[in-house]
Amino acid sequence: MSNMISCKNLTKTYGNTNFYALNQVSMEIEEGELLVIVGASGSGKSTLLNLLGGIDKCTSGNIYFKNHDITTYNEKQLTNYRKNNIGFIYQSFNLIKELTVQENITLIATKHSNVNNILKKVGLEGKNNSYPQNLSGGEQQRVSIARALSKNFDILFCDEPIGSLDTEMSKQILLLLEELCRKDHKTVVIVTHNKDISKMADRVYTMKNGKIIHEQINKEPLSVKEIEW
Amino acid sequence: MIKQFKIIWKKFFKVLLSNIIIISLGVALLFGSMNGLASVHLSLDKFLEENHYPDIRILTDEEDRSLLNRFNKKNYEEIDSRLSISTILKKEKQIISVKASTYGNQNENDFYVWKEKNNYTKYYDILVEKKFSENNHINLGDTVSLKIGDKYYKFYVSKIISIPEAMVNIPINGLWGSINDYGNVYIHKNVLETETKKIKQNYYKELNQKEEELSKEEKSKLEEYNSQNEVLQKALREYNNQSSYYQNIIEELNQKNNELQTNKNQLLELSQDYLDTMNKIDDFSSLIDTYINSYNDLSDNAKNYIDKIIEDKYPDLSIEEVEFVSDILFYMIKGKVDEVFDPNTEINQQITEKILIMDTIKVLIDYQYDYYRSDEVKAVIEQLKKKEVVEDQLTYGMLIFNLSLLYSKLGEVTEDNILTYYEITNAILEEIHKVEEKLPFDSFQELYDTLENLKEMSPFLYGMVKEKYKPIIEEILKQNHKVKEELLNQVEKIYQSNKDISNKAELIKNLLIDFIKKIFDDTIKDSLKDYTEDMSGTPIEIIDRLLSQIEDGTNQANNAINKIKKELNTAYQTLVEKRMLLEDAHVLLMDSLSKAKAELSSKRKEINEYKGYESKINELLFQVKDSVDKENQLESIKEKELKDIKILDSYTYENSPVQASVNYNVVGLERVANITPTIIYIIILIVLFLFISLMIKQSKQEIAIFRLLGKTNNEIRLVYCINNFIVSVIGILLGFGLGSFLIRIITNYYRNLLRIPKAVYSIDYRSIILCFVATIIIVEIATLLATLELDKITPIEVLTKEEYQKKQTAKFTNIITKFLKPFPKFSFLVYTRNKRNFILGIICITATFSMIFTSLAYAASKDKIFEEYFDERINYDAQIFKMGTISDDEVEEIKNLNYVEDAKILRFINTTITKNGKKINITINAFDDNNDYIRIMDQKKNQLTIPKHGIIMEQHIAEELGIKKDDVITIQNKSFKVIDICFQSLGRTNYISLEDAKELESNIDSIIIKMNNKNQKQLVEKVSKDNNYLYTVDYDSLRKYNKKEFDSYNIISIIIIIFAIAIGIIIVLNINEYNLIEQKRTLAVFRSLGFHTSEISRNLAIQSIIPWILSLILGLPIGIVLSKIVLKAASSQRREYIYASGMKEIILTFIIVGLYMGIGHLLSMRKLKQINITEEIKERD
Repeated sequence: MSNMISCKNLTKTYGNTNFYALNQVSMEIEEGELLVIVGASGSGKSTLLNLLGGIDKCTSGNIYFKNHDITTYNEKQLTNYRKNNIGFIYQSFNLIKELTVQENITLIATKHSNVNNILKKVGLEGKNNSYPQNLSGGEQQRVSIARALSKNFDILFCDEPIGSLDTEMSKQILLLLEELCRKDHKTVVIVTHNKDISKMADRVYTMKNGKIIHEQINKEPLSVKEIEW
Repeated sequence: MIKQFKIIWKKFFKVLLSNIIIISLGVALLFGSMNGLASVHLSLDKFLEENHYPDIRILTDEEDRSLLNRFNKKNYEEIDSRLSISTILKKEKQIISVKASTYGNQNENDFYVWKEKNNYTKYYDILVEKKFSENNHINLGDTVSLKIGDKYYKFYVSKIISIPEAMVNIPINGLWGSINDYGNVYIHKNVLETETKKIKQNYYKELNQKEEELSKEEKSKLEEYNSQNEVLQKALREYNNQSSYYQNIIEELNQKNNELQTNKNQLLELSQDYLDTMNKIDDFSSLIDTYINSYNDLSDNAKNYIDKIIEDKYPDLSIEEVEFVSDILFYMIKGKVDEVFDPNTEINQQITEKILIMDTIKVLIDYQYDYYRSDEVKAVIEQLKKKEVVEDQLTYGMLIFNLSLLYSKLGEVTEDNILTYYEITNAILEEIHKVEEKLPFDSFQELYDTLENLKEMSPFLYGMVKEKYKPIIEEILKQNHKVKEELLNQVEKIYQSNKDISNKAELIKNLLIDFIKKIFDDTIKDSLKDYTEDMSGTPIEIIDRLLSQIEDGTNQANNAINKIKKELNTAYQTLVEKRMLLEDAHVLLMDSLSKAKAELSSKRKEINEYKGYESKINELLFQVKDSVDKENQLESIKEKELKDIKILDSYTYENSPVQASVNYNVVGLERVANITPTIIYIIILIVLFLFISLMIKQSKQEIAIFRLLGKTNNEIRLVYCINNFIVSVIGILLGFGLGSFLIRIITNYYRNLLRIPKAVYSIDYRSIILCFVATIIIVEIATLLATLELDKITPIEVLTKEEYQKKQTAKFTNIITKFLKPFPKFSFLVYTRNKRNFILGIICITATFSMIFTSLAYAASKDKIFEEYFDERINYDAQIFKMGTISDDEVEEIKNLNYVEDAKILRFINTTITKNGKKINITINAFDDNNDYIRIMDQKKNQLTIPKHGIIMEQHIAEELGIKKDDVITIQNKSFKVIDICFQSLGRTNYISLEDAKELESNIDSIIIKMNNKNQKQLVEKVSKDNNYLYTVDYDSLRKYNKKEFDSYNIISIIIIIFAIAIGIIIVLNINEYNLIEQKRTLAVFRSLGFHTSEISRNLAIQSIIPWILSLILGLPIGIVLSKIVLKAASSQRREYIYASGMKEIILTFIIVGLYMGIGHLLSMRKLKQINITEEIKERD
């Protein structure tokens, strides 16, 4: 497997403070792997995700996506990077409540996307015209995944994807993510504070105080069904 | 509470700032317009005060300054008078109409400008009004020429001043007409008076000179006339002399003619005689031939015949006697008389005795005596007398005897008496005729007849053949010296010949006849010698020649006479003509001299009355004491001191033309200025309400927290009220600051427009209070209304966001957005989600649309009425004004100028009309041919023609007085039927024909002119040389000047549009910002999903497009209604702003609104980049 994204000495500070959200973090994400980044709140995992996702800009360091240093990108290039390469799902789903499920999905969809297939894939067949507020949390998150799928991302960043969901729904989402990774060979990065999720990962980074303190490689990651939640 | 303020200010600084700006704009507009206009009035008042503008001003044409003596000076602060004239000012090539005024004072050395002593002692100083000097580049120190009377006088521009009258466009006394460069100047009063005297003196001098010259001319012309007359008389005399001479010649010629005629007659007579004689001779010759023939024809039987006749006749005669008598007779016949009638023979004695016994003797005695003077005859006659015989017999016998005597006397026949013999014979025969009638013997007739035939022949025959008579004949022939020898030989030969008597007789006859003829010819020729020397040819030929000569001579003489007569006649005619010409010329000369004298006399009279200039107005100026009511004082003056004076016009300070001009110019603005702040304040109310609502909405969490902490809604409300109070105070203070600028702008603008030299700014404390109070009230009302929302906020809902999440889109919007793509749909839904905000936002934008549209409508209306007045109505190039009446000759004079195509009279009548209890001043134009020069139209733009009789009334005036078509109105006690109603947005002119105008009093005329070459300077130059022309108006320049003035009113529109745009942008910015804030998180999500800011901005543009389109849909009808209200409010008596907006204004408004909305959108979209995606999308605690 090749590196899809890597970063070197990535640092993120806020204002003139000495607070380092990220402190000289270097890591790689290999193509097709399921990477989980765990850490407590404020460990910098979301920050790392945002930087890798091109949503935020680092204070110093480099991020390479397919050997392109995205830290040199301007706003437009970063937007294109996000648009063409990155999928993002959030804890709070961040769906557009004014739009239907279908509209949310087609918002950023490419021309070749087939919404019905995507909906089928994420298990939301027939929900095209439903509004997010009329769906359950799990369904909303699936819409969020479907939205990401609609643009054929290279890497999917998930920031606490099951943070707002109950156990059952969480499983469903994780299964979906697993499927994306294992079956569709998508690169999936999950940021979570839940260590149980790390069991399904190929690699796990543990972060604390803005640094990666530990890297764990799971030679035989468990599937979602196998994990005791 | 302070912390709450801090929170509010921190969070909503921009909104509050926007509120402050809006408030300040509103306050600035209200404050600025109120005080700006007040400052204009104050500046005017100050200006007038500085110029000591009189409280009362009375205009008369009475020049006499002693009028002032009628007034008790104690009742007034100041009294004075000044003259003003309309005249011409020249600077280099510029020719400008001006009003020149003077100031009166007591001290001749000083030059006072109405209470202000300037100490200009130069006699020919001229003070020039500032604006006028700027417009016409007349600078301090320039030398200009001013026309006073007929002459131009040089003046030195010693000062540039501001003059109140310059604010007034109308030149004199409320009469219509203005030109761009009509100016006001001041000169020393003495100049006019002294110059008048000088001019008068000059005029007298000129007049005297002219009179002298005229007199000389008259004398010279008379002398010339007399001299010419003398020449003529001389010529006439010469003519007469010549005429007499020629008359003499003519007489001579006539005489000559007469002589010639006489000669001619004589010659004709002679000719006739000659011819007659010749004829007679020829006749005689023929007769002789006849005799000869008869003689030849006589046979012997004749003797027997004669015997028988005598036997029969005289039976008493014996045979012997018969024989004897017949022999006598026969011999008589044959010519042998001499042998027979020898008186001494016995037979003869016997016969004689016989005869004596006959009656014939008596006859013989009676008449023969006269013819015969021979003694023999006498003896016989005596003898006969002694015997008594029978008359008849005697007569007969005497006759016989006579004849025999005749025959015996044949020898005595000469050329002299031949005719006598002939006559005698004739006479005898006549007697015989007489006698024979009495004779009883018929048969004697035959004898007689025979004798008759022989009567002539026998003597001649006898004479011719008788030898005895040959010598006589020869003698006769010899007596004529011309007779040639040959002729005598011929006679000899004839006598010697053996020819018979008839042959001899014939030869002798021929010879004698020729001889007689020749002698006669010679005799005639001798007679003709008196006439000519040329005796060639026969007498007849000579006579013919002479006659021909006489004819020629007569013709020549006649020709000469005719020629002379003709020449004399011609000469006479010429003389007569010359005389007539001379007389005519004399008459003409006398006429022209007489006319010239009359003119001079009239001129003298004119000069005696001459005041020095035309169109002068004497202005009486009063400043009253403070407590005096000016109107009442004016009325009192008119009724008392000036009762007998013709007052042209009068006004007090308040209703002076200056004030009227200012009011006229600012009244529209005043009205607009009153309305616009009202609208602005309504908008402020709405906008503030909106913004405060937005603030509250955005502060829901804070409010919820406060509520949780125990604060009541009223407490929270109070916070907002106090906060907004502070905001409004700041806004008001800023507004005052901004308004002060506006005051300056407005004041300076009008100052320049109205020619007020200095701006005086005033701030009415009442306006401060009004602005303060109004603003605070509006803001607090907005705050209170907005804070009603507080009651709807439930802390738990806010904090748990349930309410937020429960919100669903309305069904109708779903329908609308069905066809939109997701992002635009989202944009639309978000925008319309909060209906109240959406509506309020639309209202604000719509309000700005209406304001902008109204402003443009005002500009369009202004342009329309200008176009209607200057472009549609007037179709001539220039106009010359004159006091009094313009004559047809003056019009012709203008027409004949080579740069003038045509000219016509346009008369002005300013009068009053009363109808239905209302009395108003009106202006009437009298004109005859309007279609080419002035287009009069009704409201529907139908062209009207001035009727021959009747009046076309202007609609506004008609409406004001309640007059309709076909009504009859009275003007100056004359009735006029209203034929039609015309419509004018600007001006209020009524129209009648020139014919009808004759019945009305008019004091100003004009000539309107179409020009080939629009060189108005030539025209001004021409009219400036003539008296009585007030000024000229060049319509191109007038139009440009007025266009400039009209365009200057655009400032009102511009200010309002700027305000509207400013408010609009603020509204748009704030609404957009609010929407951005509301959608921040979602927008962050969009950003995170890979939407560029430009894409987001484009998709969010719908939130600007919707209000833009809605502002047109809603704003247009509101704008139309509002503009009509504003136009009506801005209209004044003389100016009606008609609604004239069209697509242009709609499109322009739409574009302006679109532009500021676009700008607002773009400005607010800059914030997109500032959205921190990570901050927004992460879970909120």
